[in-house]
Amino acid sequence: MKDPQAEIESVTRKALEHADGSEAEVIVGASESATTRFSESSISQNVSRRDLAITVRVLKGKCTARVTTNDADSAGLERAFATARDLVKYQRQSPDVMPLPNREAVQPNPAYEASTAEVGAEVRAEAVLRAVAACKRAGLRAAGICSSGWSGVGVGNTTGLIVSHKDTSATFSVSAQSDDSSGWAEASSRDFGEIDVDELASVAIEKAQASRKAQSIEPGRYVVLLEPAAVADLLQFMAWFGFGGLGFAEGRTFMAGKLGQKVFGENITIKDDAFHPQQRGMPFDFEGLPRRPVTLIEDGVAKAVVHDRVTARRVKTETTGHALPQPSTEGPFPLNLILCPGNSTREEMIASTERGILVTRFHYTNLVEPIELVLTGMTRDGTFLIEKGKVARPLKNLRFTQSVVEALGNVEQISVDEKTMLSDWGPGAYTAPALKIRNFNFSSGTGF
Amino acid sequence: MALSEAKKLGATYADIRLITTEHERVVIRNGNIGSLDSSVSRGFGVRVICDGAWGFAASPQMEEAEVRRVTALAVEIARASSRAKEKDVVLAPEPPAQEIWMTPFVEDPFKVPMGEKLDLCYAVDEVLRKSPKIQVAESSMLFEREHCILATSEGTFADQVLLHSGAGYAATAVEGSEVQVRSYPNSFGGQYMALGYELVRSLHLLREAERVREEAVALLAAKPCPKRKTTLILDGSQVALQIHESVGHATELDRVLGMEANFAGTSFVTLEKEGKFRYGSDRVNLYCDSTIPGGLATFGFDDDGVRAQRWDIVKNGMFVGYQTSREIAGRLGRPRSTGNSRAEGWSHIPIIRNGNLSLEPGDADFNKMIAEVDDGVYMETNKSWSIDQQRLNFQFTCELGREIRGGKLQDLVKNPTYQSITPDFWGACDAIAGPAWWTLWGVINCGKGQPGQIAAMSHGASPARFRDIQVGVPD
Repeated sequence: MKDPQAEIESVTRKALEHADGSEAEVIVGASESATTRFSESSISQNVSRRDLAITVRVLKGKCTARVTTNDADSAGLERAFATARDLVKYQRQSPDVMPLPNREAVQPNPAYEASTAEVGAEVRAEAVLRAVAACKRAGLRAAGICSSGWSGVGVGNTTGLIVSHKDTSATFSVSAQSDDSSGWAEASSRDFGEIDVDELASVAIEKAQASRKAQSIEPGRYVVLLEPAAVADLLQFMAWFGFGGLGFAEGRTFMAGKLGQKVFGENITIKDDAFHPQQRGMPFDFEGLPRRPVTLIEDGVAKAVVHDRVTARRVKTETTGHALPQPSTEGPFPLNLILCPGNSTREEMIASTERGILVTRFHYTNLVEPIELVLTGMTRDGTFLIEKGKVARPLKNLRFTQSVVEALGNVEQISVDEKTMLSDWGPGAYTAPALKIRNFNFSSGTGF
Repeated sequence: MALSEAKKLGATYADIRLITTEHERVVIRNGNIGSLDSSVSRGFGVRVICDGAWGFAASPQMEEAEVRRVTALAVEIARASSRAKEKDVVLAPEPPAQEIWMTPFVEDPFKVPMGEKLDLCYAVDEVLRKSPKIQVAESSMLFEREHCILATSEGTFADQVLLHSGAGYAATAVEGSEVQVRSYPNSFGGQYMALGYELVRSLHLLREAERVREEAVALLAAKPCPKRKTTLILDGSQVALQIHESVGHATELDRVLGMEANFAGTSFVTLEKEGKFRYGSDRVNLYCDSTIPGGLATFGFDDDGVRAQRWDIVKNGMFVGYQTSREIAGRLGRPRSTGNSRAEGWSHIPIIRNGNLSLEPGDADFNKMIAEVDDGVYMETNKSWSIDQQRLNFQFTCELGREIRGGKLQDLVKNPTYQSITPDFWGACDAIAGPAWWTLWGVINCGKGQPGQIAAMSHGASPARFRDIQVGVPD
């Protein structure tokens, strides 16, 4: 296999050659990925795809337009630039359009495992068969995915800036199901070989078996023990609606006007760091500027949000290297959030709970109100009542409607172990420990 | 070539989709260009059944050698799939199609001058930002054209061009710790239909901008949503999303059979309920229609080559039909697929997607529906949605609410929220407004599948009334 990063950089340079004197930027994204999907203990979908997207952006003063193509031939690139140059003619000057940046030193963030890039359908099927067999032995049905592949990105512009990155990714996710219960476990890594399929199947099976004959519990406020996947879900919404510089500058988020103030409990520290050992991703942003680690919350105090050059200028600070493709209606975005671990084990967190609810993961979470970051969603795949320091019995699923700002002020214990969950939609990864939180609001229940 | 190559390699079924997708997106945000994008994506996907199992591979490189590589890879993947199969894939029969189909439209949006589109967005933006409390004004247009050629080993050769257009705007007002948004004609980008630029002209975007701005500002000082069980009246756009989440996904037969169990979830509408389960009150009639003019899931044929149909999902409150594909219909021995198999572009495999699922208009006068309510809440335009993994417990928040007292719309209510269980909710429906209030609303952000795919569909609805529903969120 050719080195994808070299190929991406080559396409980026080739595209820039067609700028024909325009001030221009090129972003090249390429990937090859495969997903083996299984359900009812059979492989049900099994797909592989190559993809390529070349985005050229032309600037003329304070006007700019983007054109994306997957045609890397000279004629295709010329057409893309011609269309961009045409589009740029019609617009008014946009004060927020910034000139192209110059090259800055970027620290590499190696995350490419050739063996993962080359995993084939047979290897994925073997992994699926192991999980399916384990579930069958336990009298359960299996569903899930086994995916592998590589992706890369290159950014270049006509000032001479050019950067590129490649990484690999593998995910195994398994749901074990009986007629009245389900359990789930998932792991992602840059290295397919590091994923322990047997361990994941074992966790999913244990949760499914322990969840049988679940009973209802009255909705209300409870101590809750959120496992890392549930915490990662909350982090994802903090990324979208809290830690970006645009919402901050416009006063629309819980971080707005709060820098230097205590916003969460003293035991909460949150960072964005692409170089964290469990994280991966491009070490530069979509303008090619270095992506800097940022401490967002330190010991409960709001310290910073992430910026691109537009929002940094607006609030008179410097970019942190978190630009999305420009111009962006979403503003800068943290792609590598980490809620720092504590010093408790999961067992200690359960043992110290007089009465509480253990949540494996959330489903279909969504924003209700942005300033207090009120979210709603359902528990899923293993919800249990903890009584007198032990997991006492399974519970039917519950809907939570809860302010994250309030919840992170009520954290009693944080686990020493952390897990990294990939975003379901688009790039981004969230590294989270388990949290024990008091006074967490479950607003309604459901029938299973 | 792909089809003969697949046959040579042992495939018992093969199809290839060659697709070109064009997008154009314009966004003006606070007087700035938020986005001025044009894109073209070309590629192909080959799907095969070999040894009784599926394989799929896709590539953007439209060259002979690449078609051979991708076809061989699809066969190799199918053989790997067959190692973990309980039954062979059997496709429900469908007569081969040889035809051309395209979305009817009046005015090609890609030929409307960019300056005209930008001028309209700038004009709306200026009106929205006339209040200093509006922190974000965003007006946008989106146009998409997809040309798909589908060829199958069964003899289907179908050439189809789908055109979708959309436009809308939102104003976000901020004051202290309060953030409120109003959108027009709908949230999340506006209204979308399978039409040309005539849709944009019909929306009268500029005419409504002042009202939208003032409503966003007024919501900052509005009352909180009451917390009690009461009568709820929803506007048509919210009913459309209610249909999408609590009926549409629940009746996708792949979910029912567990194929989304690990991700999107399953469904409470299990097989034994077909024809026997009361989904809603007698007034509730829901049907799917892939032939309805303007629908985002309106086409000549789906990605299985199944011709567009219309069929009932809920009839007089009783559940009567699912949404299917050839694979799932075949597995259950059904005579024909309903034609819900669709993929996002060339790089994804077709999966069952919501069709144009609509609520038949009732016979009520909307004004009388309100006049008959002593105590209740009216809610308009979706802001937030969440529903459980079997599609039972849902909670929605709208942009704007109004108290109803003494048969009249009264004070504004901010963050209006309601929560219920699907069959209880539809069972509580006691009035549906008539055809004059019925609109086909477009949804363009429906996510499903792994790898995730986005699909578009429409849901026709008019305002509807529901009795004894929990509004507000219990503490």
